[in-house]
Amino acid sequence: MMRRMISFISMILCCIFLSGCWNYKGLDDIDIVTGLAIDKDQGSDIYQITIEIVDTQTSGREGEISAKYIDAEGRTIFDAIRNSKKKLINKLYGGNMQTLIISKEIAEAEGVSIIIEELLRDGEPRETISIVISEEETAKEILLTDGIDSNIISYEIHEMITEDNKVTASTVDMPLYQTYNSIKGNGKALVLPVVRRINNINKNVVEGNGIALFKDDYLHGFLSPRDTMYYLFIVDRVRGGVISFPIGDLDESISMEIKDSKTDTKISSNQNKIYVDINVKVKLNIMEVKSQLNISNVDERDKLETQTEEYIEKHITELFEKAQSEYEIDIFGSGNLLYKKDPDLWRKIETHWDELFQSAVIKVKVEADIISSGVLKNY
Amino acid sequence: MGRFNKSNKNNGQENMDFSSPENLGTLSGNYEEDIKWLKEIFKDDDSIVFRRLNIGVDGSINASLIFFDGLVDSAIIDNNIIKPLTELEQIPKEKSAEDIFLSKVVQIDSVKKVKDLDEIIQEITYGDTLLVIDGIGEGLLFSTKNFESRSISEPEGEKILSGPREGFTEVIITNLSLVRRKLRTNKLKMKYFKLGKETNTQICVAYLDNIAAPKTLKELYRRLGQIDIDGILDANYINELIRDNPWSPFRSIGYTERPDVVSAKLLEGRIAIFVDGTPVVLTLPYLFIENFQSNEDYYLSFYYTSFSRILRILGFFLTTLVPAIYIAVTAFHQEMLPAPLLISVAIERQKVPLPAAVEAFIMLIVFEILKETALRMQTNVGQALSIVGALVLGQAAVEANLVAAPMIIVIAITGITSILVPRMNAPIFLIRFIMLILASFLGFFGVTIGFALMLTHILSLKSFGNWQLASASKLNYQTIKDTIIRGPWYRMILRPRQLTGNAVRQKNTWRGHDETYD
Repeated sequence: MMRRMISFISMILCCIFLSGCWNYKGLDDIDIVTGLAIDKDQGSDIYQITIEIVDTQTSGREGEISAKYIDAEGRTIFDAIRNSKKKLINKLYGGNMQTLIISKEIAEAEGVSIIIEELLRDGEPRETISIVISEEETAKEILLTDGIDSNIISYEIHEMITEDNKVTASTVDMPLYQTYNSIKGNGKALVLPVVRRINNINKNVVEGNGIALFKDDYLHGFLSPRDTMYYLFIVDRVRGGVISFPIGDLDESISMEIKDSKTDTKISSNQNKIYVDINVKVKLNIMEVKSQLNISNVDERDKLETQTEEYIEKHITELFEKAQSEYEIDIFGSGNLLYKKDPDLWRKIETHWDELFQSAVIKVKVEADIISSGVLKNY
Repeated sequence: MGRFNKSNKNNGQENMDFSSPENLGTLSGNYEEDIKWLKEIFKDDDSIVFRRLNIGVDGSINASLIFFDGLVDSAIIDNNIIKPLTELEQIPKEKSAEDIFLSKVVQIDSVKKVKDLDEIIQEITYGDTLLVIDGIGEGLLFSTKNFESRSISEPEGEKILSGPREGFTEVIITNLSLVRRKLRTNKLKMKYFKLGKETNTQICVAYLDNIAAPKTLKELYRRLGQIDIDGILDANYINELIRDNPWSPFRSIGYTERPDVVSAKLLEGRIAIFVDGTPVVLTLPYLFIENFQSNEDYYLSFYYTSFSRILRILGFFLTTLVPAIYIAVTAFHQEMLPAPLLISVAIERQKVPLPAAVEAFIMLIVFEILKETALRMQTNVGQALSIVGALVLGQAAVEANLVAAPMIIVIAITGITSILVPRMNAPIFLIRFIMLILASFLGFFGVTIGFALMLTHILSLKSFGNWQLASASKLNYQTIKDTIIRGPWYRMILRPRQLTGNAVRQKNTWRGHDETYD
């Protein structure tokens, strides 16, 4: 009994003294980082970062949660983060950071991969943080705007992007790990959401504004929110959104809500020519009709479905051709499909894929199904 | 002397007396000498009564009634002993005169001839009356017990919503009668013992002959025989003297104050130990799941009571782990919390001076103090205490920024959930503090170590040869029907197998279902 007691007590003591660097770190000893904006002064080659932290001092039990901002400079991003500690009592804690804002200058000039790799190496930030590109001069401006729903703008951007993807189909949600996969994956293409600052009832707020296109990890161009929807159709990431267009001969518009969408893309090669076959099946609800269209009539509905199909087909084709002629790169990651289908072929053509993409032949087929007209009988 | 050990193979056929009082000898047969000696034995004890009688037609024969004032029924002594004795005309002169006295003269239901002084002392201190008659060698003992006792009421600690509301009292005879009335069968055996060298406490071991496992019974007798204590005032004395794993905080013998619970346990093949002077009855063997069972589980809808059991098991985990998890999460693994929750907790933590772990220790101790005072306090100061406890310590401490509000919530959850498992108050209290210490030094790593140690310990617990938790070697409906859930009565076909050799409870239902249930 005595021996067992002694061995048990010594086990407990070992636990206490040999506990390594897993140290007790109370919540009052840390500053919770919610967001990070990265800029660079091109002249002096110094990173300028702005860190958003939760203001636990002034946030009250009844009052709103507010944020504090810290500016710091450094030769590298990590250097800058550590330099910010000089201004603080507490250690920065990045485990609950949710948004990383990168200025378009950095994305253009040196790519995003250095930043992303730094964050992945660091143990604290989650792999699910949202990465966005600032359309403004600096990323800091975005971080310093006012939030509508909360004072912590990083959380607002994160929520906005993840939700928008499902509702408006005007942006993509790119968590850190997907961003990294897109850079490193075979034939994949990186796109990141873009945010801008606009005025909304005397307040500067953040708005999502389409997506940024990347060639490898360098910023290459932007897509408007409207084009983004057709981009999402091609890459099969539409989860919702609105399509509105003028109906054929009538000079009236119709609005339809996308309930469900499924894209099946087939890619094949024949004698140094790439053929892309895009099949979209989309289910829609009619939301708003500004005409005397009799939508409870089957023929009328069929006609409307055909018009919708033509409209979507036209815009998908246009976007694809725009990518081929204007951006001259595979922004859709079609190469990845080819890589999965035929890795040997991919290895052969990998180096001149962009040229092949520019001459690819596209065939788009859309099947629209209006599942609900929303018209009540006997109304 | 009188120690009951392994070699003494006593299977309950003879009257077993485990106590070993100092031997005072026997009555000599000489009247004057015996009275003198009895007076010597009870010297300086004024509560004893020596009633001298002169019986016979001429009053020539001396006799004495010896009893303790207050323990006896005076009416019985007056009418059924003194009256017939004084009215006696012919003194029997035969050889077996005492038998004539017992069978013809005295009108008492329970009578006995005694010679042994130790036995005389034990009986008259329990309310019997001794009659010593000149010329008759043996003393005569009459059962005249009549002492004050509590009436039967529902036990405070085991209140239920529906079901029998009887509870045991301090009188063993009453308690046995309550169980006997429920189990009207000759298979119900009740063996009397005496334990405690000074208290001579009456103990009764009750079991159902064809259901209880004989090896458990044998082991129980062996352990009871090894008891060598001067006094037994409550069932817990016996519990601690005979239990398995004596250092474990977990119970290895059950307890109850309800006759319906004892009857149910007997029907499942358990053995009950009644102790005179306490309403608590011990039942054994004890399975770990009994910590979470309540008699009401069997009286209400099985859907509802299955859910209650799951709640109780959840309550056990919550009350032991919540403070530890709170410390682990807020001081080691902040990334485990969703951002809004983390921010709310951080804002509260920012204002208070002490680290969360120290705060948790202080608040848990304060809570234990409050609990203890609530148990010990006089009822008329109760209200003042609860106001001070709830308002001053809870609300004021938070408003003065001495204690973080989330900590109060954690302590409240811990306190409330501990009430769900009243049978585990000792282990809960210990585990909670051990887990908290481990969590404060090692975070979740420590909680995991502590949890593994706790599980290992529980799995190693035994009760009279039965594993308390690791009993189900194969998992099927009949082994889990009364564990985490409570199956409907028509599906409770088997008794707990490890407790009994006679497992089939509903024979007719059982027949033809062997494959299904076994």
